[in-house]
Amino acid sequence: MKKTLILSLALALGLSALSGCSAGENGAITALPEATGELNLHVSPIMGGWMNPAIAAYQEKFPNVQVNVENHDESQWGSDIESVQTALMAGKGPDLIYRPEYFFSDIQKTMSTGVFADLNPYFDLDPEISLEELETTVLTAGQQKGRQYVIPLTYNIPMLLTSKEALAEFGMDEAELRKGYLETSRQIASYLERRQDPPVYDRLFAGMYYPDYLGLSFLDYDKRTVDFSFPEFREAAELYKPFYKMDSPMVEGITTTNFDGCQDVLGRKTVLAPYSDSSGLEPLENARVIASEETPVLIPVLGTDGKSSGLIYNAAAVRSSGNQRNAWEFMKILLSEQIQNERINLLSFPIRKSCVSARLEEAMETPEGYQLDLGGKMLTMAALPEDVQKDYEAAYANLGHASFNFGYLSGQVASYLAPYYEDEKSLDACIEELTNAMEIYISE
Amino acid sequence: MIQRKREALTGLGFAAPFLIGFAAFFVIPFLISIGYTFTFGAGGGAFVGFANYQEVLTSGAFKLAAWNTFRFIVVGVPLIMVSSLIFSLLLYQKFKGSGFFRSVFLYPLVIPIASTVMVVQVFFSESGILNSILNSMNFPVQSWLNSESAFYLLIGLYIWKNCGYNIVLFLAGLNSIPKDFYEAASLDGATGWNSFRYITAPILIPNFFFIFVISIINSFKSFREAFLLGGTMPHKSIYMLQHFMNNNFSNLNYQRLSVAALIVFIVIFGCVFLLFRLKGKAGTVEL
Repeated sequence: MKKTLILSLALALGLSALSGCSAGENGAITALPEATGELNLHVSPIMGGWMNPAIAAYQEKFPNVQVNVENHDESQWGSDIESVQTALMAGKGPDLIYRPEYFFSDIQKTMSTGVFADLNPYFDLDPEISLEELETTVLTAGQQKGRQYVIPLTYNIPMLLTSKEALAEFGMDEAELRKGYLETSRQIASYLERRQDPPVYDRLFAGMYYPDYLGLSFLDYDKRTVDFSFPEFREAAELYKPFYKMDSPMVEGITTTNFDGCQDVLGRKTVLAPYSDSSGLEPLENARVIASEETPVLIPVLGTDGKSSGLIYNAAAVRSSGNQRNAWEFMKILLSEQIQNERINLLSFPIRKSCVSARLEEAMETPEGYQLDLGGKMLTMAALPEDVQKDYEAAYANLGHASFNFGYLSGQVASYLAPYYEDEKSLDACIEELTNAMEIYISE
Repeated sequence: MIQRKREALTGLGFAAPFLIGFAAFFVIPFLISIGYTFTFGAGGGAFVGFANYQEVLTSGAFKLAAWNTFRFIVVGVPLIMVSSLIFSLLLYQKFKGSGFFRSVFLYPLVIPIASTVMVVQVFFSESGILNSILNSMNFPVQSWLNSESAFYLLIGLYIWKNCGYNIVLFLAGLNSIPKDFYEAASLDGATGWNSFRYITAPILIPNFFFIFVISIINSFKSFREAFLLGGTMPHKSIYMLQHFMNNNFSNLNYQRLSVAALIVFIVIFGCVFLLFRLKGKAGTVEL
């Protein structure tokens, strides 16, 4: 009886081990399978019309693939995230996961769980697209151990817009501002010690997400190491402290939308108008307004490595246990020139390299001298000065590092350093706690 | 023979609802979980052999969690056993108010754990009562919940919460000892310690064994307190195996979660098996 029981248990264990033997679709791709069957997509209310042209293009190219779109309206925002999360936990869900940062708190960590398909074989085997066509620096944010799991679709580069006249009036050094985030922060802090009104800037443009702007490697997911000992990080935390207690990041005179930035600079409500996430063409269009009266200056925010930061605004991944080939074809549509240049997505910069110049052309579409009517106030758009064009292009050419907008790291830094910002603990104690927690986290 | 078979089948029929539920909700998920330990990817995936085991066993987080859990059991369980035995021996004596004190020790069992943790935070947080007292006496403020002290706080909470339950079990055992034994022993000149050593302790061995196993099980439930005190990423002194498993669940890493759970199962199974063997070898007590 005992023998029978032991043998049965051993058999059960063996069967359960073998039950995992079904190799995933990505097990050993040597050729691209046919695109047939169905494609399941989840369309969140905040996507707006971004997906529609892509869906139409896909159905035109693959009429045999049944596209099932799970649409959600704005009233379902939040619950649709939960439903997709639950489905993904069960090994189901949309075949293409759009904006994965909404469904996973830490995309880098999720990449190691096998939820996303390894896309390198698809890039290697598919003659219609190659990784070289895309901005490789930004792509690294979606990689782990050299494998591409998440594809950033669009991104932005934080920039500051001002004018030479405003800088001179407020005694700020343009050359110093161009050195990077820390130097800018030091100038702002130094200015605030000298003058209070009008404010140079009510909120450090990065807000609490400055760790992404520094361009430092705090968490290495491949080596599973943590390092918060950089003196630059410490200084950035100290410089941010006075701004932490501001109630709202969007105070009067400081905004990142439409044409408020240029008006604030011209009206001297501020000296440095920030453009970080969801900026796209705005810094260029606002620079054209400033150019009608003053000399605009566009300053990309550089990290400690002297290079600009990319904040990824849109991304997509293919579910590893889904219809990978169909999802891959949809991914290609999202990366195509047509969709990348779609005017619908003005708010951020496309990852396809060939679309960079198109963006600049788009910014110049409005004729010189065109007058914008902002509810009675008229703004004139002058030509975009060559310096500004060069600074804009250089920012994208000088990309050094990229991270997901509102990523995991910045949230954790904000959480663990909050006691320091609120004068409850020393910075050393906070950094020690942060380091200890992240060391455990990254090795889980 | 046929009658016995019929009886067996009837018994099986009555037990079937439980067996089906047990199979559906425990055995099968358990086997699926074991299957996960050999795969990679959510919803089934590639077979990767023992790669997940290697990853988990070499993971710094798992080693820390395993050490903390082991340390918690090694420190907490003996402490709760001794303290509950002492209290039960005291409560076994008849004195005025013994009934009241017996019920007092049961109150922690029924108080919701969230309320208890809230009180702990009120006392021990950075701006808590204890630090306020220390500050008023010009002593430096201590980080009770974010330092090694958190471990001892958790031990204290575990003992406070579960001592009453063990006391009830010990009292039940003490009440089952015939008074004649003590009377006969006192007539022979036995001291209190002799009575305890040669009468009480041997008879309480089965209770001791049972309470030991229950205390170990309850020690794993201390994750609730640790989670409420420190969240998903508490101070490293109270980062337990359940934190490791819970966080991997949140990150959809079912493979690592399953490996950790299986290792815990094997260890607990082994310990309990060993205990039963030791108990079996100890035999019955002869007075």
